[in-house]
Amino acid sequence: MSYLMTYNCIFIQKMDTFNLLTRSSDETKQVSSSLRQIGCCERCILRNLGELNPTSYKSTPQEIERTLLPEELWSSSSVNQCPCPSCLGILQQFADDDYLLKILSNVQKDGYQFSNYQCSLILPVSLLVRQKALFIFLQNKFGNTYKGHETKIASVKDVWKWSCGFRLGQLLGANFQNRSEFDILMTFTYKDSDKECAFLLDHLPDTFRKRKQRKFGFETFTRANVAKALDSMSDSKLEDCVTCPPAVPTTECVCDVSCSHDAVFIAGRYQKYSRELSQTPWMIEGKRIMEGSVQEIICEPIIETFKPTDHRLSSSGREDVDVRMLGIGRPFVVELINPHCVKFSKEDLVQLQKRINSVSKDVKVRDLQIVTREDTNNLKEGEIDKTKTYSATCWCEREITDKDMEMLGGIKDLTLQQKTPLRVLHRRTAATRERIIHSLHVDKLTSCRFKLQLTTQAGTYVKEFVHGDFGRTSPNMIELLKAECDIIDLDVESVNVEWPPLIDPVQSDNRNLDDERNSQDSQPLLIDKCVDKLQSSISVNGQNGAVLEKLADKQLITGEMKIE
Amino acid sequence: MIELEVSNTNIQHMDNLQKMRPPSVIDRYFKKRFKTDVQNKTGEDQLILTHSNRVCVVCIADSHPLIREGKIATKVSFEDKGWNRLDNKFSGKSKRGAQWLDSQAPLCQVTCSDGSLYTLVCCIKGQLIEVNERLLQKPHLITEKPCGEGYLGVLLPGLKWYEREMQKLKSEEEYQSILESRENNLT
Repeated sequence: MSYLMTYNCIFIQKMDTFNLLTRSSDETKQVSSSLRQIGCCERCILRNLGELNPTSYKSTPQEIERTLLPEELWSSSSVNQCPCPSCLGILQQFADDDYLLKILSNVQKDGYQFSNYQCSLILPVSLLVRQKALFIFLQNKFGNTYKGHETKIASVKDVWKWSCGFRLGQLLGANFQNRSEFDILMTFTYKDSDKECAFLLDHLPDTFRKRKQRKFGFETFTRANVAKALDSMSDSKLEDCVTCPPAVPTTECVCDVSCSHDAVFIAGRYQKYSRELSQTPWMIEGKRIMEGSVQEIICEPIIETFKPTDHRLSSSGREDVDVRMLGIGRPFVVELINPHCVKFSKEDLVQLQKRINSVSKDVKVRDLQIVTREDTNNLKEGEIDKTKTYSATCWCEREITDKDMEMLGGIKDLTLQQKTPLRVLHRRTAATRERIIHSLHVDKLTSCRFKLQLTTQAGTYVKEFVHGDFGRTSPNMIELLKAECDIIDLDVESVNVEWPPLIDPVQSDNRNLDDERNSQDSQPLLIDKCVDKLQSSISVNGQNGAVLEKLADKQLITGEMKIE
Repeated sequence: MIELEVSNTNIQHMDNLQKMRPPSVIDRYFKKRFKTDVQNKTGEDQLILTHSNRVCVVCIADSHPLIREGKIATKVSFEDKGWNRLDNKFSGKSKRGAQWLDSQAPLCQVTCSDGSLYTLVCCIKGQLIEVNERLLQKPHLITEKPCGEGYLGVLLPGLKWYEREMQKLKSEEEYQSILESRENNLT
């Protein structure tokens, strides 16, 4: 008995530390008792007393019970009863230590790396109806204590976090935070949820028209529309439709736990030294046309390192299969969706970059770094308004004179009228677009061949500027030289985007034009040949047009020079 | 066409090669197909350059009287009674609203300095994507650069009947043999 006395003393003190709506300990006992009588769990009793202090919910259910309830209403401990009508058991069996251990094993199974975490709860919609019914019940019974204080009842979601966040964090060895990159999502489903909302259909049929769109998952009742409907109905009307207080549920909730990590973005620049490598895998009807791709070479080591569930490579424009990307390279970003491993030092990234660079001699990356989602906007901006510098080997039917070189070298900001090139016309809007060639420079290679260096506005099709595309790009090199002219090969020398920040040293570019010429002339436009061969083989086999369509799409990449 | 499969060591050959024209845009990206005796008029042949992406550039063939007889084109018109190829508004990637034309449909009419008049047709069933409006001001391009700046228009045959339309046209070999037999008939 003396033991109980001290016990009671502690709890009475503790009761003072709670900040409740009730105005006396007697009233608290009354409210608690009546909540207990309708089947509420301990946390819901405290919650429905208006306690909004998160720390209060760190008390165990037993502590809460002994503080608030008269002894005769203490539950015979863990021999647990039906689910609480106020939280459907979410603050009851889904908040006890055994359940947290289940979450722990679930999370561990997925093998994520994290040092802090947040959690999200998706709760059954009918919880809103039950909460409303309970409040009406309390208001009717205890009048002024509750009137106008509906907002002072903490939500089930908040109470779960206040009660379990820290405890689960200790089990996981990670700090619980309101906002973290690592999320543990708990989805609670309750079989009778729709049934308990069904009365709303009769009262507000317009609000609950059957959703036809898939994006809403064909759900009739959502948190938003149910909350709105409940607000619009008067308490007396609700009393007629809903059981007040809410009935003890006959079935339990089911909880599904899943984890996710915010996307991680890896930026860098890539150089491509091959004229037989596409940026993305080149497939026609599931069949591979060309081995490898820039995307695969760059992404595979990154995927192995970060273990994401999905990934996307985007770059500041792209080059054709037969175009090399030189200079310091083209900025790119790999978005790693739901990565499992995320803790990497600068040194780890240096190692990762080395690994990528050991995959192939055709693709090299530099300036590899982790960036934020906001940073990646720089990439798209660069695509639209930054200039590009190219170097093209060209042919002319006559010898290039000093006068030609002077004339071309003197050109500044030449405006082109460029019709959508024939090679992309099937999939791009037909239009005449204005594009600017900022400057031109010519170096003679042989009597009929010359190296054309040019800086252009983003979106300029350079191959078409040289050969004219049936006069559809004008002016073009044929018009400028007043002689037949064609392009033999093309390199992108620079994509003038000052992002991502440089990390690796920039080597001065002293490439020898003569060396290059030899290597280039030995394998001219191999891709074009490849496509031609394919085309003829396809027409021989008489396959349907879809193949051609896809092939054509790809040839775009082949023939395309534009850096969009 | 010139084959570029040449040993690097053959420097003399390389040097010659560099002076020669590399495979042209047409060689690289297009296949030549022909329609002979358009509108049943012997010798009125047209050339259709087909890209692997289905885009077709309609031109006149070298054997067309405009070229063979050295005519001087003075006027190119894309309209006449009942048809107007200039009135062709469309939008988007799908080219919605573009005129759908039959292979026999007239594409343009060419008037020559000697008063002769030629009607050139679409040659393939498809959507009209473009007419070469430059010919309105510069009709002479049609004979000067028949498969270059003097092209007539661009059509995009539907995916479904692309193969069928291509079958109806003549290959370069068939075209050459037709030219030969024509010559034999004359002699």
